[in-house]
Amino acid sequence: MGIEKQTIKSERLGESYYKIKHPSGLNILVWEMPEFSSIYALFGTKYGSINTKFKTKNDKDFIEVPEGIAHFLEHKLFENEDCDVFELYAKTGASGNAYTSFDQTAYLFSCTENYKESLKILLDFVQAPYFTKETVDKEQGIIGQEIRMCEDTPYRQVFFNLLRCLYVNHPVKIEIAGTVESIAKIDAALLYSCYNTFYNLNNMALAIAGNIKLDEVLAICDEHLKVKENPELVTAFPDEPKEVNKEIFVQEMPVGIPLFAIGYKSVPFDGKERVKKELEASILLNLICGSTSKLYKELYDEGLINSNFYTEVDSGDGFFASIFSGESKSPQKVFKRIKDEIERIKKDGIDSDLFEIIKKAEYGKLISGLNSAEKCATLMFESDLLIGVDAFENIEALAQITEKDILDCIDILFDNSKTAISIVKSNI
Amino acid sequence: MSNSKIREKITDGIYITTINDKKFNVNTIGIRFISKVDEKKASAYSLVTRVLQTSNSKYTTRTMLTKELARLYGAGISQSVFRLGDCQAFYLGANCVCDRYALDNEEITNSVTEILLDCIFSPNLVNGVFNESDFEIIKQELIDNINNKINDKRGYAIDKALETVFQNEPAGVPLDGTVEVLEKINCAEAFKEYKEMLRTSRIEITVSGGGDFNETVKLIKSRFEGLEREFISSEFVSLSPVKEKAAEVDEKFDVLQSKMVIACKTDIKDPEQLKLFSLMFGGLPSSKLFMNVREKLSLCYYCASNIISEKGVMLIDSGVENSNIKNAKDEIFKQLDEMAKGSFSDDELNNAKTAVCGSLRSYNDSASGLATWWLTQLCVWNRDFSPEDAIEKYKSIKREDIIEAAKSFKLDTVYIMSGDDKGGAE
Repeated sequence: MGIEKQTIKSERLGESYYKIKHPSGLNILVWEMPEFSSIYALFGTKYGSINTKFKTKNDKDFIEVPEGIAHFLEHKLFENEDCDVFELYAKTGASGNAYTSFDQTAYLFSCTENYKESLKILLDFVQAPYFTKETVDKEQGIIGQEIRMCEDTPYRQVFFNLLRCLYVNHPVKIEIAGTVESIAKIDAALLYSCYNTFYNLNNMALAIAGNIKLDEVLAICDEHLKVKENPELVTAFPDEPKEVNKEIFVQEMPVGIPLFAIGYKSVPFDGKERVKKELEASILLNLICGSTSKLYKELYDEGLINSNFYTEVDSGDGFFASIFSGESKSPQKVFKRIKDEIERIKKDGIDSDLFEIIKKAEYGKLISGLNSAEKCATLMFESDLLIGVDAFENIEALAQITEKDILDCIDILFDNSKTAISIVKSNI
Repeated sequence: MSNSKIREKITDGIYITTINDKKFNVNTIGIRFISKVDEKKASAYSLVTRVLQTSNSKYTTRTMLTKELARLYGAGISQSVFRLGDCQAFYLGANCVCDRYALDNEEITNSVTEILLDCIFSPNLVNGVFNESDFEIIKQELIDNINNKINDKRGYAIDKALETVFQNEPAGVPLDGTVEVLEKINCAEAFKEYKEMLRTSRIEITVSGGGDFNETVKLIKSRFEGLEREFISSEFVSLSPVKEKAAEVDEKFDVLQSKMVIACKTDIKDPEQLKLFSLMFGGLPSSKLFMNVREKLSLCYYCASNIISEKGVMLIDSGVENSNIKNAKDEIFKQLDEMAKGSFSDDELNNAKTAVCGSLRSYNDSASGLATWWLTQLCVWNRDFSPEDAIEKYKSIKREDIIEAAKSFKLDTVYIMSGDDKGGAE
């Protein structure tokens, strides 16, 4: 079987990378940056905390697994049968790490030398699970500590409380690491079952950027990728109503000024449409209450927000929300003013000059997002694995967005009947 | 290496360092006002740089300024404060994408530089002082930020520990000052401190990135050359005296996971020797602390050592279950003892060298990383020492040097932030 090689180019930026469909089923993304010293590689699977219900062609019914298992599996994969992966990286000089998010688990390394050796380590250990009762029991202690640390972090609490307000059933509302109770249900057999389902090369991607050569990378892949049968994975999510779960949630913790997060729930989007909607939502967040907007100035001058105010779009398989977060002594007043401003924009339209300025700022942000091997590798990886688009899709989509597009989507993205606020206030 | 630096003295105590490589797609102009401070100065200078960051005489409100920067392809002006030994550096900087990305051939970098320089030299004044109402908002925001430091438990525990570690030393002055002092500073006083900061601080400017900086450097020099100066020079490196009896601080908080910060002090002044020791001891995933305290014994979620070499201090910070505090502490000292006895392999030493050399080589891939590197070397350590020079130095460090470093540390402070023990996850 021949190798399918594509060059993905951005005329606008004068940048390009290679996309290879490997016979093993793996998508390999390679960005040669010969003028840099660093190398950054990510190898991972489209498997995160939200994938708790699934089946393969060998299963009759859907299987449900405990919350936090994707993250648990990530921790455990670092242990080989005979040694720890960090010890192997220590010899090549690479710095290894991994992360689990809502919809992905990624294993990565960065280095400036011996990248070929480090790449072999990465491909080998991710394809060689080793779980025993002893190692699983020990990890429960370590992850238990991690969960406690998250519970002590008010920024994280305010965010997850918001997701629990916005979503009725979707598992995005669950903490990525699970709970001390849910991880207690994890055992070696369950880990193997999840591993064999999701860690299939057809459900994975490898992205590498920096001072590397395509041929060298492919030669290592040919040698180290293990071809396995495609299990024909199907993941399922519970039905999610359009309405929010509840409009407000308040938690008390030791904090200074109260924290808040205000979210607008929307129907989810896929592929290129998701890229476009994420950009449109980001532009709208800025038009409504970004640091260049009229409302931001008013709230700031009235002391209702401070400069720790930011906006973000949180989207993935089956979920999409536009979020304003910050610190305020009166979060409810901020909430009301944002709702009013949205209605005003829907009635009066958007400020054309501000729209152009925000578009330019977004363009600058995307360019700054390509200034290191790490950022380039991450962009290729996430675009391909999570959304199924090329890395330059966002910059192309941004160039096409018009004022009319923004007006057309405001009703879907910012519906005042599908919004919620989460507040963390002080108990000291 | 393709990167090169050019350093020039503008006038008494003011230096500009330029780092340029076409591979970078963003530019950063960083200006640091560096001074030995007490609580009053720390509070005032932090407040002043925050006021300067938000407006200037041309763009008189935060929104106007932000809008203009957004128009320049999402450029930004940022402010921060950090420690350099016994001094604090008050940073004001601008970043933007390189001019080659402009869609209509606009001049980006020089326009952004002009805005930053106007923020510093031509602030928005009313009746000869800062705009009072803006000033009050920014002051309140800084006070809120100080009160909010508790939100980050790990950082807060380190801050609190440092206050005890550097008792009665300038290095113990909190970053951003204190709420008590800030509450008393009025607009006129802040304006006086602003003038003082420009007149007496050491000023270190860096211009780094992928642009063509001839004009940018000229612009910057022309504004700083005319500055009226009475430069007060400061020493950066001074070893912190170790306490006769180690201090123990235990604060109770409503937290699920306790934090422990241990500080040890040394009389060794060699930053590379100390850093390499610390990497082997608790700075890498293959280090003694990570492998034993976390991985083998599951006593902590994190347990890492760091060196403040200007002060001869090592900090070991950890997040632990309340019931494990004593065991974790015992194990940390046991591992330090192992290092002092030379119980480490040549592989461990070589692996730490490989890791540190790798990260030094990657400095050349980050314009702002290089700017920080050269600031530390030229200003704090007063040496023309490139990342490549550092690589050579690390390679020459021997096993005996590591043992010597391990033996030299004496316990100074143990700070514990503890919660109620609600039972562990064991």
